[in-house]
Amino acid sequence: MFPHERSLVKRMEGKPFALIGINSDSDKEVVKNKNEKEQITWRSFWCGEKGTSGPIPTKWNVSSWPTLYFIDHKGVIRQKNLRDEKKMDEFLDKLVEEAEKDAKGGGS
Amino acid sequence: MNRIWRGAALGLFFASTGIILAADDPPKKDDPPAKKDDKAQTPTEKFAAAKKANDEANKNFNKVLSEIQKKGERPSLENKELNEAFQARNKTTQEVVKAAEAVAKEDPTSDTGLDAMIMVINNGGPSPAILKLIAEHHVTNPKIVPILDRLAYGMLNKDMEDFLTKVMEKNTNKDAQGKAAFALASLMLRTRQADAEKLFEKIMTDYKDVKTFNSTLGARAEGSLFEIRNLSIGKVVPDIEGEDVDGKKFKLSDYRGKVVMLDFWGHW
Repeated sequence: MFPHERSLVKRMEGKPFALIGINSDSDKEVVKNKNEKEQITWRSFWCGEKGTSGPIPTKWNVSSWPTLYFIDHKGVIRQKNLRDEKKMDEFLDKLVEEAEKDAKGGGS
Repeated sequence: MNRIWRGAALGLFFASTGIILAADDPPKKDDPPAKKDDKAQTPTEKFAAAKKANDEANKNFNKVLSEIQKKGERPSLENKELNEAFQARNKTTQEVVKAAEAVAKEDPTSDTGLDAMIMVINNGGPSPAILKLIAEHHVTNPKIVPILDRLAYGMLNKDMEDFLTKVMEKNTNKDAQGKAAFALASLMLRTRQADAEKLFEKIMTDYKDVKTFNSTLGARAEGSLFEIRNLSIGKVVPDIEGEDVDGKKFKLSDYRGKVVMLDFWGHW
């Protein structure tokens, strides 16, 4: 997961894209240390000390990790739990293209 | 290896038996029925012996685990002693499951048979053959209530659906009905959303207060209904407000205008 995410973030630099994590580890210090070690530069909500049973995963009914949501620039959920890295890349490229088109005034 | 600990932490029961399931052989008919004059053990005796060995292996595993925790270390299967205790436990669990399957098949109508079936489900996962036997002989028995909690995970198949539907219809115990409905709805959540939604709604009206783990069916059904109604493909994503690891507040909607890949993750 991490190597692909790192290269994804790099590849998308300067594009209308953000990788946002919902970190469900219960120990904040452990997360900070490991983020540095693993070069995790993208931002994450932290779910609190309850970790996987914290308020965000509970509200979102998350029962397996990782759980993924793909959201377009208008805030619409377009896909969930795409795990194949190639398909993930293709799908995100398509969404980013839509976002860029709209930003140029091409959208309706 | 880490997955085992995560599974335990999440309360996903079958996750902790993943290794067992993977290593489980297809059921073999290796034991012809014991003859009276034979010195070989009967299936019931074998089952009792296997249970005893498994209890001891469990005890030993827990002892090793708590010693590691007492030392303030993080339990890992890289620890040799823990690994050995873990393997020994898995081996005896597999033997119990096998012995229990034999009892269940030999004596499906009795209480001992039902105990054996419950043992199989709890330790080996929801075997379709065993579900069929319970559906046929014990569907009204309140003893099956605790196993229903464990059936809410995994893939839905026909045997499972038949079994849970039958429990909902035939068992007069309210907990049994509610838990069967919840398991069925949960298994349908990602593939048959409209059916799942109806069942979760029924749980909210009829079985809201039934206790499950450290929660209630109502609270858990509410989460699933939120998922169906707000987190389906095509819906506008609900906002998230929270703090990052450095304690800085931010919102998901801060990123509107950008494509967002939202990833529920952990280092574990």
